Amino acid sequence: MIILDRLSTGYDRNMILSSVSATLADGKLTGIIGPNGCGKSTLLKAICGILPAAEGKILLDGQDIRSLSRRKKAQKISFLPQMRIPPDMTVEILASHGRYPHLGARRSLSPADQAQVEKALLETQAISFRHQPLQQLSGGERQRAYLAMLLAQNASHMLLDEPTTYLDPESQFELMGLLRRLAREGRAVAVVLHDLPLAMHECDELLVMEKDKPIIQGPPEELLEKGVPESIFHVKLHKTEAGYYAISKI
Amino acid sequence: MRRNARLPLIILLLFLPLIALLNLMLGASGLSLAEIWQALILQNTFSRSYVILMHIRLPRLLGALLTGGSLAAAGYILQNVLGNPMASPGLIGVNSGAGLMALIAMIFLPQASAAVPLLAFLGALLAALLVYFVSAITGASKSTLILSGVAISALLGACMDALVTFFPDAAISRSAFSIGGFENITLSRIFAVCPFVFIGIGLAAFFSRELSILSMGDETASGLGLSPILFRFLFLIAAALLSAAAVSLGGLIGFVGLIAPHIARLMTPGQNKGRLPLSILCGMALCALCDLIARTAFAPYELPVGILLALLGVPFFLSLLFGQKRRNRHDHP
Repeated sequence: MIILDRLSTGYDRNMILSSVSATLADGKLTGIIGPNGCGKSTLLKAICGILPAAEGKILLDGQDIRSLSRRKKAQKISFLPQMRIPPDMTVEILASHGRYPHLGARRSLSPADQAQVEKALLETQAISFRHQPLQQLSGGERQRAYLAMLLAQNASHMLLDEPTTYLDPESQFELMGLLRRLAREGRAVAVVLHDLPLAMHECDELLVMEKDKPIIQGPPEELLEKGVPESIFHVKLHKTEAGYYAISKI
Repeated sequence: MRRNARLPLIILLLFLPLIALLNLMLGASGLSLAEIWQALILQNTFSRSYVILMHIRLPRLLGALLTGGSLAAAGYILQNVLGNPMASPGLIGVNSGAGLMALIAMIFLPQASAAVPLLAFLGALLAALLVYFVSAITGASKSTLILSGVAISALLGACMDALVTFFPDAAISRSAFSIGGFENITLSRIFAVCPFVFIGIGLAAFFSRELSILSMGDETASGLGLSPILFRFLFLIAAALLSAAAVSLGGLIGFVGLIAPHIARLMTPGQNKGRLPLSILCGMALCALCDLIARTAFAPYELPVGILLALLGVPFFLSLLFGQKRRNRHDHP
């Protein structure tokens, strides 16, 4: 479980988050939504320690995150950043780098590490193109390769910054299904999403962010009743008969 | 899958001794295989073949191999560390930094030949850090890095020109130094740079996993628990050591650092294992081959090897740029 306690952070003197509090619960898929520039990516970077907290603190399973070494942190939190230039390596090598925080002094993959990589490649269905260079793959295939790396890291907390970008609708549902399954296994999974209906439909819990305002947190249904889509996103959401959400202008 | 990395490695390992042998045999005065063998076995220090072999051909060959291998390794490291396939010690100002300080050492400390690589290392490291910080502050995009590198290269080049203008009697001529070549290499100069080469390549080989992780970008590397700042600094030191060794031996040889890792990349797409040794072997073969051609093709005239490398290197670099454009058409910026 990750608890943000009145956290303020940003770049240099430009504070992007000021005194925000939120909880990422174990076993739940938490969606992070909000208009552009409200600090969604900043929040994830702060949690995984890329951006230091200026004020407030972040508790990881009750422990202040600043007391953990990089390695220990990476064993417990995995992070998939948003924009990535595909590096020159095969899918399998990429996935195997997920084991880096777990490697011993010899820094080579043990059979157990190999097995984790294998499992991750299978689960993300990246196994069929495991020997291909990343640069020759489509956006969706690359995304699956990165997910395999994240799975191989096998952290109890996963942070993903807009992983559904570049994916076609079917793959988006597939990805969200996989993330939900990972959450059901007991992990705390947090995912930044741009697609409001998708977030409403797929997540157990939502963090709604707005610039310079406190985070609104709650299950999707509750936020819908509170009128969050109208007040923050200036759109209306309708639940269809099949249980999905449709979006319309106010 | 590692098979396809092994095959080019084996081919190069067979090809390289052949070039090396031709380098020893061919020249203004030819040596036969038997003469080389005798010179090595008998160690008759007054025989013609011994003098040619041990004082001219062998140092020159070793110099070309060391320079080529060092530049290739430096290029490979920089391309990974900076996440930029266009990076190379020549293009981003590292060689110019090494060159300027080497020139200063040659002018002001002509007796201390061991000072040349040491000062060159300082110059290379400072230039690398300068280019990195300028591009990091101004935006750190791939093109800013190259732009700031080219700008700093030009600045350092002007400093070198100024130095040579004020000290025209320096032991080394500006044109020979800036074009690059392996004419005046002695075994003692080779021994002086060996530690630089071993430490530089050793660092890159020992931390190859970290180098590969760093090539995925700072944020991804951080997410895996690796400190990008610490390791980037470490790898810049390694690249500076290698560049200093190369510049101390061969002057400002261009394009090897850019081309050799790319040839290795074309041979083994997506592979990281074996890429470093393959790049090094490519750089060695390239320098030895170009030096052989430069010495023999227009005999009795000798073409500076730097010219030949540029003649081969520029078209290759341009084709790379075109290929890059084609490949990136479907890429997000």
